[in-house]
Amino acid sequence: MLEIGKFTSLVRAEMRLVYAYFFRRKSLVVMYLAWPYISTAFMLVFGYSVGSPKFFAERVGVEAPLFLVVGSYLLFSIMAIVDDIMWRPIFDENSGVLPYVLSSPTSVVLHYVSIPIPRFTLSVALGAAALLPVSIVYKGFEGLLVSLAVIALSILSAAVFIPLATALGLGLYVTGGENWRAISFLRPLLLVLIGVYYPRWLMSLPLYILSSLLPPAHCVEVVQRVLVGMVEVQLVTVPLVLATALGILYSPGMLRVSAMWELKKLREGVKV
Amino acid sequence: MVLGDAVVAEKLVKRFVTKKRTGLLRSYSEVVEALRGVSLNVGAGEVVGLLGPNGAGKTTTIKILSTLLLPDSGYASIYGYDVVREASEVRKLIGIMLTVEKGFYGRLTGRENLVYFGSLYGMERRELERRVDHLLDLVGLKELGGADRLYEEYSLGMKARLALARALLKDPPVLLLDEPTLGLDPPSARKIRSLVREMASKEGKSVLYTSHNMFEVELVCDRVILINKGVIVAEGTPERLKSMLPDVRAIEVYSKQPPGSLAEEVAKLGLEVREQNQVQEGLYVLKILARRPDEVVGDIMKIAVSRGIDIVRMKVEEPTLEDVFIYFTERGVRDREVH
Repeated sequence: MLEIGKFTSLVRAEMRLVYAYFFRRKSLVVMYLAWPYISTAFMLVFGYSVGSPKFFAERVGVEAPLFLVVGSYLLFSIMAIVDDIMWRPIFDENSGVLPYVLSSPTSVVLHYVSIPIPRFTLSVALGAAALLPVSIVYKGFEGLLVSLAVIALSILSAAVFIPLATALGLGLYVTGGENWRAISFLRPLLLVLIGVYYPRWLMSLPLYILSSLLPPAHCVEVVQRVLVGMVEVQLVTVPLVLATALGILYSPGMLRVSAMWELKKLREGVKV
Repeated sequence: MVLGDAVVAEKLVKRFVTKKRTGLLRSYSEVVEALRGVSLNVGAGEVVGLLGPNGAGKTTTIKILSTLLLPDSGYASIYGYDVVREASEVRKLIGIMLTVEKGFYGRLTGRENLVYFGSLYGMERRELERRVDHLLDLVGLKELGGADRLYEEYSLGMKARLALARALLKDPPVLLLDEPTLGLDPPSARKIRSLVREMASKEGKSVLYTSHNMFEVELVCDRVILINKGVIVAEGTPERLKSMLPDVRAIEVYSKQPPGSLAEEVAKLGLEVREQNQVQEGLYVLKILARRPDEVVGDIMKIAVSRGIDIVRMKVEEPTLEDVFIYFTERGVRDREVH
């Protein structure tokens, strides 16, 4: 009970921090609203110059704009998790906040689990504003239902991704030191493997296996199946159970890596 | 509150290994001994100054006591809680201030920053809001109009006040302050000093306070510990430390005429003449070093009269804490003294 109270208080604090940063920078609000459209427009322009939209719809089973807007929305939401978790230790260290975070009685794990939640809620809410109109235009009332399913699945993707993202992020910092290169290395890799823009069922076997290790990849697969109308119970429930199971499976790893990261910091001395 | 020493450090040792690059593929490891067996204590309600030149080990000591750095060997505790094995208990008892110029989120106001850190400290919301409001008033940020201003717009003095407010947020019995007035304007520095003094005398908080400012340390601290190259070289009250200096004082002789001949005769008495023919306020100044000034002042007067030199005034300089600092850090010899 005490831990839940602590956690909600932490999430509230993080929300104040993130929302203050967000709403005091109007350009960020605009960027959050426009991002799914910008990335979709970019990919459509690029895609139409080398292939045909008809071929895309035949091969994937859904119109390219809808597929890409949903994909961008999912990616934006999922990447909010990776970015926040990987970016915060560096940001906190550079701004001199880290010593005060680490010398607080709050556990590192509890803190890092609370970190991505506010930005994720923002990206879900603002991204939905971009997702809903396109879905409704293409699919009418069914589009509204599809959008709600996509939002729910993006929330699940994020929740099950936190343990692995924390373990990966802090693990990279433990082994390679803290720098932006780690984020630059991890982001594109996840972008491909999660299968947002390239459906998993079209991947080669080695890529498919690697992708299967990422909890959000299974949620993304369900979203894509919903989009193309393949909503058989087994095809939907199995990936969701797998995603949840992987999220739970990675949790001990997150605890261990967090402890290793904290120990490394304490051995080197937290930079002031 | 537990009785006894608030802060205890025994034989703390810390080495840092740094990699030095000498070429594209070549590098070597360099070991820096930051602490070489540092032992100290801070009593309940006591303000102890940790003085030392850059790289002496002050910040390393503060970091170990703040649970932000693991020592290689030795033991340290806060009110009996081991800073390594019982870090989470220690963290409830300490308030830290490590830098003045950063350590907060720039896009949050002072109040929002304090609420954020209070949440990290697990404080209950209503109590936290009340406490934050009280502290913003106490450190003078409300008066300066800084409570609800963005941190990135703060002056250095305001940043320091906010940092002290954070250290006091959970009303800890122990404060670990690393150069809390570094670079501050006099009013802000004075405010910080008076608050620290007040916290110790009225609320019984124990404070470990590092600084380069001798004047400040003398004003604020009950006891001073001098550290150099990772070793404690002297310890005691400021007065006690001054009395530990060799019994040599400077006598300043102010005269209307050039004191050249006086200097020659004084040197014949076996006294060391430091400076002569310096002019201050239209008078010539001669500086003489003597072991027992009282015994030689009469002789100096007699010589001056015989040489026709009018002495306007004579002054015996008392040693300052700065003299103590320079003496012990340059000597580099451990000379521990318990007050």
